[in-house]
Amino acid sequence: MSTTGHTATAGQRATGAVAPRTGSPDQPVLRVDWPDCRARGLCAELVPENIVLDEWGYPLVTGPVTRRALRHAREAVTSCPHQALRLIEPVRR
Amino acid sequence: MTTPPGELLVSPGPLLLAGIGEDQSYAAHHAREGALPQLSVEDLLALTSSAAVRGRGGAAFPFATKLSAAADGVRRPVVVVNAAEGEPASAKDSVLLRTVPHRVLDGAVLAARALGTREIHVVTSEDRPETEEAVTKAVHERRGEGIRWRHQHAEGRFVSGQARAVIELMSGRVGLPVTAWKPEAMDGYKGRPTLLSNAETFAHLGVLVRRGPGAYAAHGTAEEPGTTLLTIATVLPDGQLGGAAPHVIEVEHGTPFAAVLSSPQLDAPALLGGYHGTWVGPGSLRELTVSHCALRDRGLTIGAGVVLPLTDGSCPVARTAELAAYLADESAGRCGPCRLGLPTLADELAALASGADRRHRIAEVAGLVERRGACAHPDGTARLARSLIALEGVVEAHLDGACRCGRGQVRQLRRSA
Repeated sequence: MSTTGHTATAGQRATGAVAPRTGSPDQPVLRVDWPDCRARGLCAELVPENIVLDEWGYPLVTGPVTRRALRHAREAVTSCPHQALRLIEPVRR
Repeated sequence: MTTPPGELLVSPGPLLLAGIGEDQSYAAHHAREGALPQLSVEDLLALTSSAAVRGRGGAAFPFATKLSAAADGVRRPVVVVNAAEGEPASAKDSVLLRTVPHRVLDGAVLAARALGTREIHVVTSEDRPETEEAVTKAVHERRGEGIRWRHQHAEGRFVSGQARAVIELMSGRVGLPVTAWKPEAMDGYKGRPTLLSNAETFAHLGVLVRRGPGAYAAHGTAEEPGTTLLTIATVLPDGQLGGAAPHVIEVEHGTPFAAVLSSPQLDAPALLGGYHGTWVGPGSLRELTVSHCALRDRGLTIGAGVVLPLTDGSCPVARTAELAAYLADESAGRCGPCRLGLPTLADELAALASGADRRHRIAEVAGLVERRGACAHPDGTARLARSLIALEGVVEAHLDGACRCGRGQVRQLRRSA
């Protein structure tokens, strides 16, 4: 299990538009496919703006993806060894 | 004393549980109530939104919103009656299907016809054999209606009734939760719009249509018309459900708990909403009413209608530690934060029960499991833990040794039928 990256506690969890379980968010958000995630921790290295690791090495998503972090977020999605990360984009109505 | 498996107490009620002593075969039901009216989806949407019908599986999601989403899909919808009732303390779905099965199935048929589908799945749990038999019989009785009934048998575990676990089961895979990227009503069974609701929800639909909105709304409050089912059960000192058989009653929304519980039950601390529910302190039930909205405003939940008063003088701290250990065991183990976090939470609650002030750490671990799984199991377990911490007086008394429960008396909870 990767131990790189920060360890976050509940108190440090960022507020903001956390991804809903289902449906479309207002801003792009990263969502973890939990049954597929194996805590490799690559995502936290690629997009530290939005992902820190918990005490067990699993990703904690912190808030919506900003325009600046979007490229990193997309890279994290494509680089996940278990394809367990998705970027949920807002649906334009 | 424990309750023999399958034994239930049920009292007659105003709508869903009216006339439970009568012959409830389909022939008798049909003779009494006549043919089901044919409603358009617009009619059904108008009825269920004006009657503010909410899902009765625990999440209290507005039924009309779900129905509307299922109706908006391009592909042919499918209707699913969820009676898996994975919550061991709940017995209301079993009671409905064993006493008035056709009220439940009426609702499902109405929804299916409005949605233009003939396919209805009914999901029951293998650890409730009497309920499975009742569904087999009732569905057989309705074979002339032009519905393709599919009876699904879920494994008897806590998470088997989670929506995505049910859809997995229907799809021929292991009935455990997977990630939902869209609501089931938009993208469910085989990608089709799936109207998946709790058995009691369909019974309300059936009764609302049969009786008419006026008669339905004659019960309850303006904000929450109609009734709800409650399962009143007790937890024995060894952590098992037991004492008397679970008692299922139907009450109008807005009914004070004081009108339906005994004095000792009202004065005891109680778990509302079952194992994924919230604790209330001794005497609190005297001030509360059976209302999803009123309870929600106080940070409480009625969940699937379970009320567990600790009338044996036992302590919520020890009981929560036992429940958390049980819930950790019931994790499907597929999602890391749940697999690792729930045992951690259970250990911290056991430490609290043996006298260590671990409240800060319990809140921290709760925060690390919430919203971090494919289903609501970690969220429900965190809710239980947080509600215990919120009972400051009870926890302080336990830590001070002032509570009579005997610290460290945390025993293993066994699953009850």
